[in-house]
Amino acid sequence: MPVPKLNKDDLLKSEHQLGMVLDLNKCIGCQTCTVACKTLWTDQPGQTTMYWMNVETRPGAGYPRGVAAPNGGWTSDGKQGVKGRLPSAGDYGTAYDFDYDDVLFSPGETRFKPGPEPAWGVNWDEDKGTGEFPNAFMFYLPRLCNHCTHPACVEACPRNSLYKRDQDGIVLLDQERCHGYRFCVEACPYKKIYWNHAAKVSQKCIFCYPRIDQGIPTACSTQCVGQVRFVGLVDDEASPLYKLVHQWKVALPLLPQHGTEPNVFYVPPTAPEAVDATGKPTGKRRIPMSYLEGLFGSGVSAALDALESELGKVRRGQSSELMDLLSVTRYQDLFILPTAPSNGAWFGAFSADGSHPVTAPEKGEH
Amino acid sequence: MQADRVDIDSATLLDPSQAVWREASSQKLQLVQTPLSMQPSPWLQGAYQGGTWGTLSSATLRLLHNGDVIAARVEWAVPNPVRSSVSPNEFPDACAVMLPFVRDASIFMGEDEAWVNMWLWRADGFGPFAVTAAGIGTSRRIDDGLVEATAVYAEGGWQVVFTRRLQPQDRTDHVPLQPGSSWQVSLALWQGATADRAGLKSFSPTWTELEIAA
Repeated sequence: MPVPKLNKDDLLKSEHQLGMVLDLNKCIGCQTCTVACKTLWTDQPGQTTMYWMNVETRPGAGYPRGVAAPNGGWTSDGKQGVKGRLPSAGDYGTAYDFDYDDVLFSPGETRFKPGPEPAWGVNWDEDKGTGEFPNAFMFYLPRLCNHCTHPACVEACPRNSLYKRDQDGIVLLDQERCHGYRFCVEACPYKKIYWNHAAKVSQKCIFCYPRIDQGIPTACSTQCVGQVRFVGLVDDEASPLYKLVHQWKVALPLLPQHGTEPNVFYVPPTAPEAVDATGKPTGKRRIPMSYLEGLFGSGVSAALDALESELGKVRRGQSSELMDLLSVTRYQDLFILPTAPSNGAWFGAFSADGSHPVTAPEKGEH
Repeated sequence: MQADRVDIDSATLLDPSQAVWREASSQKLQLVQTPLSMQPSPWLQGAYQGGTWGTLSSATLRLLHNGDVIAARVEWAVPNPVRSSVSPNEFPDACAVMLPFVRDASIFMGEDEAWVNMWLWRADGFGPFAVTAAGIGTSRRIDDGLVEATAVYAEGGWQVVFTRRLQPQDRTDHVPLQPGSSWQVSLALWQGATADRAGLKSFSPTWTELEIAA
């Protein structure tokens, strides 16, 4: 029996939109988010090099290799698809095999190393960055599916296997309906849909929807030691996301030029000032604005100005709503979910000083 | 074309290199590229303008039956066969024989009240499958073991034989075929070297009449 016909317009609709803001000035590249996601969702056959969540060093080649020179998505008017490049298996690298027997039980001094000699893999260029001393620079860029409002992946699938959830816009991929054609992989400028060669289907970040449905934020967010991530409805004016994205305009989408309207936003890295040969600050930015604009669009300059201006207030002993928002004194302020239990059960539950169990406030109290 | 009746066991029919196939009547079907305008993907219609797919121009089809099983042998030239789908940018060569559930169903994967039935083989060893569809984008693979396939790559081309019981019990997912009757058949080929997949393929744009010998 054939699968039912589905209407593409219906698949693209959602009543609300969940999103995430990541403050790159707080990300230390510890990969805890990566591991939290990997152990929870992608430990099955065919998923060895599949990282729904990964942290890249930028400037760098990205992961899969080449994603830093993105392709796919839409033309600048958002109306026509742009052909993308399908990465090769080599762009993801291979899992390393170590010959433990040889090292442990063979005579002589065998060097413990993976074989065959790897040439690329996840985090291959970690911490490398670019530039010359004393003005070399790098920063971490955690990446997950952007759960876009105009998702090229959803529109690319000839089988209508991808859709946005009605209630929150999370982009999901129907594993039964998928036939593994990979137009979605090709269309996604972020290459955040992966090919599972064992299951012969494409797979992607599900924004931890089974957790979301219980009012629990994504694993990458709750495990983040730097408290880098805010999760909530982008269209909820009470949400810190709304304030950071729409009010303060300091949280920006990644690669907006590809027209997919991402719902994951980044507070761009301020980075220290450039210094001269004697080590004195020059008053110029260390990370070239053109590089940041290539990643986050034309709003970067204004966002950095706003961040530095508000930071200046705090340094002068004044108050700043934006800095209060970004510094997050209460863990639970990071996450305002429409599905959160009113008793705040998941927060687990201790007050900031650890003295007593806490109850999360109702959504409206924020 | 005709599916002659032969007194040969089903396992032998499933072997593309058996002599019986050399003696079977054949028909060369002309294939064309699927039109971009029919792709059910707004993104694809823009992104694939001027793209390359569906460049295989013909295939040779032979059919035989032994009263119990019908067998279809498809042969086509492919200079660079692709057998793997491990890498994300690898798409295997593939072939499908299509039969309508209702005569003259839409050649474009059938329609609501006139489904089509396919036998699908892929060079990566995934399958074979029976497939039913009621229009573009509605195909479902059925892995019930009824369709079997064997393939060899020789002399610069694939030779694929499908077999299936003429009269399967499951008539929802399989078109029953009756000796002594006539039916219709068409072909689709996917070439891995040009990343053919889904609706990006070569196909025979009209049904070929098929006489199934009594």
